[in-house]
Amino acid sequence: MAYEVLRVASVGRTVQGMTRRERRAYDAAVQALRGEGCRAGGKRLMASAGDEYPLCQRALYGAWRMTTAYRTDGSIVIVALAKHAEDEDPAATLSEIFPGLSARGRRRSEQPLCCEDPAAPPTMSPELERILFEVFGA
Amino acid sequence: MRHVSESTDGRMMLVGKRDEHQVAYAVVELEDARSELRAVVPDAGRRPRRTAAAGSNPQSVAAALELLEGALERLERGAAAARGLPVSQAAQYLGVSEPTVRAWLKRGLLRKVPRSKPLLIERSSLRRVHSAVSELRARGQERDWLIALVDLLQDRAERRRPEIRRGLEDLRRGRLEPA
Repeated sequence: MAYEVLRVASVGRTVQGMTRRERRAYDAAVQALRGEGCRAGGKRLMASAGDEYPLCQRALYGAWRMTTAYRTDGSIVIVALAKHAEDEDPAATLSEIFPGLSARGRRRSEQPLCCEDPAAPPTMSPELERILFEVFGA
Repeated sequence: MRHVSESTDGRMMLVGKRDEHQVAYAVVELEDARSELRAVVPDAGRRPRRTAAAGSNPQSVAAALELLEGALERLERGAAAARGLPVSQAAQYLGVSEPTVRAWLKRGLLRKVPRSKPLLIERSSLRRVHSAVSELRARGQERDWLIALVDLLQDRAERRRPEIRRGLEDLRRGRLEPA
């Protein structure tokens, strides 16, 4: 079964500005999404209450990341194509809040796969959401 | 620079900036204590006033709370100029570094006292963040929970990136094309 893969217009513009090698990685990822669906989506992003779509993120060439959304009709939409930036590092703040504890996330291999429970991604409790809002902002 | 302030027994006295900051710090801590006591005895305000707060029964706690509220009110009146804490004391109060306090200010999580120089951080915003940080510290003693929290925050930061927000907006509006 081939999956329908769409993209938003800004992704199209980004693709046009990519180098040949980056473009090859993008094309390969699109092909994989067509053939394998969410299995080619990379890791699933945890959701917040109110998020409309399950989102997944796949590493492409270098720092490039492809973010995909999964619609109820089975189609896949590439919503963003951007270079990963460490402009916000919540782990650094957490290291201060928990001195002596190493605030590190899971390795990529241990992170949830895109297909894992895609219809019901885990959400934060409203209480935790409120606490995080006070410490990390909107 | 020194200001005229009112002492707890109603006398006027001169205080320096450093004293003001110390008073502000004490007020913030007393406000925290008041919140803790209020959580234990929520209807304390309606109880009869007592001067002795010995023992640990609810009446004693209510009496202590009432005394605390009176002292706080007098302190706040006397320390009207001490509306906030300097960055160094705010960092000490929150248990984080000064750069983190400045980052939180920049992101609007903490608010500065208008026209304060050197910069002071508003007490109410400090107490709000302090409460959230304390809750996080209480929950985060389990390693697995902390790992999950880091993942969650990183994913949350990703979801809030402008490219992804714009992409989701386009998706909502149906501005799509074949990949």
